[in-house]
Amino acid sequence: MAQASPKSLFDMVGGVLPMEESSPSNLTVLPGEIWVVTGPAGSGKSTLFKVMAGLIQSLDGELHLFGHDLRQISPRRLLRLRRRLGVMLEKDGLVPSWTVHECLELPWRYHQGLPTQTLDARLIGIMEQYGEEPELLGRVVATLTLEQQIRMGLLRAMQMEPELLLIDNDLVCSLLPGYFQVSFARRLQEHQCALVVRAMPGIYAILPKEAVQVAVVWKGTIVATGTRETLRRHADPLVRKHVERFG
Amino acid sequence: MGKEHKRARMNRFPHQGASHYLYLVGNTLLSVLTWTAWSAGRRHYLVTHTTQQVYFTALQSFKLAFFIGLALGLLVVLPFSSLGFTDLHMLTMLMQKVLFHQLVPFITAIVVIGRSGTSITAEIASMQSQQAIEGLLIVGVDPHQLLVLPRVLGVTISMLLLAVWMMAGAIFGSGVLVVLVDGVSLSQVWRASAAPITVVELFMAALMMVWFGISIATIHCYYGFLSRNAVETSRNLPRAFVRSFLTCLLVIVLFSWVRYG
Repeated sequence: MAQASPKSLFDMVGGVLPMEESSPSNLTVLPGEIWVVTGPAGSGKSTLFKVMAGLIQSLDGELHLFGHDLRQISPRRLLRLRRRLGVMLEKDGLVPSWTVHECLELPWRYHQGLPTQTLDARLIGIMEQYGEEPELLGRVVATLTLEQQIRMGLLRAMQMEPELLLIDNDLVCSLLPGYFQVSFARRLQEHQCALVVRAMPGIYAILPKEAVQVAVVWKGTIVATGTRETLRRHADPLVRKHVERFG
Repeated sequence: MGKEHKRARMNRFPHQGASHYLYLVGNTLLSVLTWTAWSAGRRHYLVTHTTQQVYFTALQSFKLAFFIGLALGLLVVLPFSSLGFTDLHMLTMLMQKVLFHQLVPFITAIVVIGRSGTSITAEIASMQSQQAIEGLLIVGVDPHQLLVLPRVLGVTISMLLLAVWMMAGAIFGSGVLVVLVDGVSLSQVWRASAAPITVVELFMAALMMVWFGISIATIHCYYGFLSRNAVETSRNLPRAFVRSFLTCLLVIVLFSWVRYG
């Protein structure tokens, strides 16, 4: 069995599903790296994100999250590892009937039992860091606009200062206002947080193009990885097509 | 390929179908045993959410439960009074057998299924469709412990409170009728109604209400977890209603069989 690189946050050999005709590539995410996951509709991009977050078990391949084998890990250790992850899936992941405050305070109150005053101060601080109005904390999630929900969902993914941030939401680029994008990028850089993000319209406008690496998924398997320039010259037309997509 | 995707997705919880339901019930109830090891935060959420559930299920339904009890009391006693059966002892026995043993617990269960059960399914289903359940897992929170346990406790406590309150309404309704027709005092009716109720009877009634509460809450939570979008929610809501209704019916038949069989 392949060993995870000691510094890598996430290592994957093979695919999430039993391989068919394609030969798999490895995906190794190091601190501070930015990865864009692309591929045709139904190719398994969302499944890959869920596998990376340990939400579903991979049926094939070898996976290491923070050096731990995801296929052998105990549920308790997985719960601990997930606290080092920030994840935003296709939806915002917030509880619709709770207030934003209740959603954001959950991990701190549940695990650390922090008192209300400390939580209030901490949450107001986070809102201000991202240029958000603290009044939003009192709003019930279901009453927020779609744009506000996306911002709060992303804020929640970032609130624990994760080492690895996974974003599988294709509305992030089109709905995030400029001030949020700036604070978001700054926070990523400050914490040397690695980012794995789904390819979406406008993605290359907000990420530093030269630093971006691309992983192409096809039938649940990562078929190619590398920089955009390298993959543009790839032998497989499917890889070239999806690297060119979105700019 | 599609099947494989489905298999991969379905692994989010370790079991599926009936075994998922049993896992949900087992995981929820077993977590109570580790109460002493819980963090202060977990206890805070359990207490807060249980209180909210009791407030919504019991306190907000008190008027309704009393009114239904009142109507049941009148409806059971009225035909017998009109036929000339006005013996206080016979009427209280009738109330005990029909109302206390069967009608009041069952109608209470239907009220709770209709009011709180469907709301539990809809709330958890809306969380599913917004991927909030995954959101909980990601921040290291077990959704069964955060969402199911307080609802089981809240619904069970509410079942006990509502049944007592509905029974009070039934005694009051039938009592008023007996007082008007027979001319006995309300305190006589009350004493006669309370006389046949033994500790064993109370225990059996409480056990039945606890069983109802656990069944209703877990079945509705289970169907909430099964619903991943609005279409599935609209299908699973009536399914949850029917399944918990039938479960309560089976439980009441079982208890009647133990009592009279």
